[in-house]
Amino acid sequence: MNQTIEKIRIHSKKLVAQILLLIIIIIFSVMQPQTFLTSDNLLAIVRQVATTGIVALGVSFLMLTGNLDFSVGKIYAFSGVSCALMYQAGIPIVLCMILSVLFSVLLCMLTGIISMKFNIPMLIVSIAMMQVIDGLNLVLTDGATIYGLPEWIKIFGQGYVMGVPIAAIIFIVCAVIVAFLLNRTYMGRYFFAVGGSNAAARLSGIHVNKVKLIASALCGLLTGIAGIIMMSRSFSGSPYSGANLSNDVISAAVLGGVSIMGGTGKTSGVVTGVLIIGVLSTGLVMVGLSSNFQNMIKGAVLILAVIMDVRSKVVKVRIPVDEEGQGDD
Amino acid sequence: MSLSFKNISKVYPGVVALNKVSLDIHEGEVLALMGENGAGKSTLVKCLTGANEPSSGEICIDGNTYKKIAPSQARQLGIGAVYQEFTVVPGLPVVENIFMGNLPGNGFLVDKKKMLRDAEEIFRSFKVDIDPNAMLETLSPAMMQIVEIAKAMSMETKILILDEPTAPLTIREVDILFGIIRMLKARNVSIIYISHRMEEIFEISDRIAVMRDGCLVAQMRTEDTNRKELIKAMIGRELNDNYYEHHSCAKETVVLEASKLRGNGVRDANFKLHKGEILGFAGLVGAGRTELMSLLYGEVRKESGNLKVNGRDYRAIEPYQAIERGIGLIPEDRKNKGLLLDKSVLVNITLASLKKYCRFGVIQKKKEAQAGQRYAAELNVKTPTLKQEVQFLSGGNQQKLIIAKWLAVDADILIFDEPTRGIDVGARAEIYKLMNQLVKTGKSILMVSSDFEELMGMSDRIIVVSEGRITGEVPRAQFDKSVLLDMASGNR
Repeated sequence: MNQTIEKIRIHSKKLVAQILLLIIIIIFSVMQPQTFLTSDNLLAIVRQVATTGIVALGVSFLMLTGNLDFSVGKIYAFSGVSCALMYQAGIPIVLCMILSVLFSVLLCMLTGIISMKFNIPMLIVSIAMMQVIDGLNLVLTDGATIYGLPEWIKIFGQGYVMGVPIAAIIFIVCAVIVAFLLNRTYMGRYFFAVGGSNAAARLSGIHVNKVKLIASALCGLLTGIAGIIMMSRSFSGSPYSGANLSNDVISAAVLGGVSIMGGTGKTSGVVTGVLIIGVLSTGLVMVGLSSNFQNMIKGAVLILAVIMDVRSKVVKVRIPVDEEGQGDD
Repeated sequence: MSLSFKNISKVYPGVVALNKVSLDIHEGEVLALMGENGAGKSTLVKCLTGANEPSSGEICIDGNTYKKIAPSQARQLGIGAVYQEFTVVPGLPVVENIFMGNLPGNGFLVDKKKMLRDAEEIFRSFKVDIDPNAMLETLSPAMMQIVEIAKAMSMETKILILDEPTAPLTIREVDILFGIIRMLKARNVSIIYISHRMEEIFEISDRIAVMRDGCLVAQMRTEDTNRKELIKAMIGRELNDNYYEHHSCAKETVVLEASKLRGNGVRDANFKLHKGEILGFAGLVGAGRTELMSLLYGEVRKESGNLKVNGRDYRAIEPYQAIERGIGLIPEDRKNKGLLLDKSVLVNITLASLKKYCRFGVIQKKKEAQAGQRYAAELNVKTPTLKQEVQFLSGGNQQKLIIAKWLAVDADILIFDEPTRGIDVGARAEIYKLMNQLVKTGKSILMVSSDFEELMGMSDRIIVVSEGRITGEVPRAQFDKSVLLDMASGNR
């Protein structure tokens, strides 16, 4: 009997994000019974979270290796802006998209390289980079949104296949690929190892800096792709898009169990975390809270998520101490 | 003051950590508390410091009976503890570390002069020369340990718990510590001394209490017992007499050669390692042995000098190059540098050899699991499943995992840095046996240890390092502790 309870306890701990999502959905469904649980609304949520979700997947690579990048929101905007600008300059749109994604990769890698080369925490470098890229976006566009994209480009952000938004399909495909990469390839294992213990990973022969750089590149890749989808959805390149994105993706990842201290996390958790943030955003609008209130609540959610993360780590460390001796030295 | 535990039990779900332990500690005595890891020593002691609440039983202190003791209460009662891990702050002066949490003054302003005076007074009574104004980080590990004790003693401590206090110390530094213990004893302080080092126990303790599986299994006066009897009480069975079983397997072939190696505090190190040899490195803490190993391994880049592995030049710029050349490191700091503590046994075993089980970058789970199973079995790693997180394994099993990691890569040269530190007697013997098996199969071992007995028991040859230089090389036939100690302190 006791053991069953213990098992349920352990399992519910693993599923804490999923349970939280369920609770939030139930709350909003009760508050807005006519509108919230409609297929239209749910599809809208899914379409909205697609871009956030793709970036969150990218950021989770960094977080696994023990890093953080706050500039992803601006890189996301840069991706759309640079693509629209290059198209205006006469470059074929497909090439523009590829180049924009490539730029995003390079920008993320630059942050990583500066942080490694000069041994500065990536978080700090990325906050500086955030400002640099924001400035760059505004300089390039003169603060104006860039229009005039070809009509067919809408398909990524606004198209549907059998009633499912294409953006959501791209998100799901990305999530599946990321899950495979993390769980089944040696590179995925190396991400966990580097985040778990930099020193142990290095002394076990892992090229730690290379692994970190690959994580940065993957983060840039996914952020760039998400930026293009956003551009397609708004049918323009806006230097202002992705304003709260960095916060949202980090909240989503942490809520989903990716540790801010590195080394632990699951793709399914990130997806759940993204859904929590998405449902929360939409739900709060539906119950009539202004975006200012939304920001307050989302900020509080991030703090809560981090507390949960830190606490789960502390509990883990305590167990062997209490049972005494196991591994004491 | 007198202290007695009466029928103390501590039960965790599924585990009885303490089983009706009754134990008296007399005023001014040094009681050695011994037992393997997991025997219940720390749990018992924690009932005293307030870190733990007994499930049942009582603690009597000076005639008063307590069901449990809160941490703040422990301090009032004069119970102090010094653990093996430092709890001091490196960036603060010594004096502030001593009075941390207990600053003298009027409740608003700190009385710095009194603090300084008191600190000087404590050090004078300890007969050590530490400048109270020095930054803590500039002190040696031994001096930091003494600051820890000073911290405990600054609070009128009557019962001092020393939990493996000598682990980071070398023999000479231990002497300083023992001087302090004797002085405290003369002042009627009762000392509970936890250590794995037999020699120390016999030197410093008046009485010995042995714990096994949460029970107190033996109590004796130190002068009435011997090493063999103690080990038997601790592990519950007779241990093989030849604790360090040694058959030389050394061949003529040189597998590793260092010439004029410099950097990381090491100066002009020359030595050769032969196939099948166990080459010991003796020296005081901070002499540069671990530093030398990190040069060999490429953990720290060498400034100059040459290294050859199997006759071929080897540059040693990053650890992965060492691994490619067949070198594996079992580091001193096992938890931070050797293991991924929150990852599974399997992940840790295959960490360095992962690519072997991959096809096109994808891990073949079955192949990986087979390898894990094989090495875990080969090294007799005690774990419920391969999925167990390694932080829940004992020190000995953790150490075996690191060795398993290098077996999986098929490393030929293994660097064992303090291989048995913090590992209990039973597991220690297993590690020695493993080392012997390894050299038998043609592997070669570099072994750094601060335990001279262990070094002399296991090595074919010992190189002595002092202040970054190699000050001597002694073949097995001429092993002599006093000679080695002499060389280690810089005399040739």
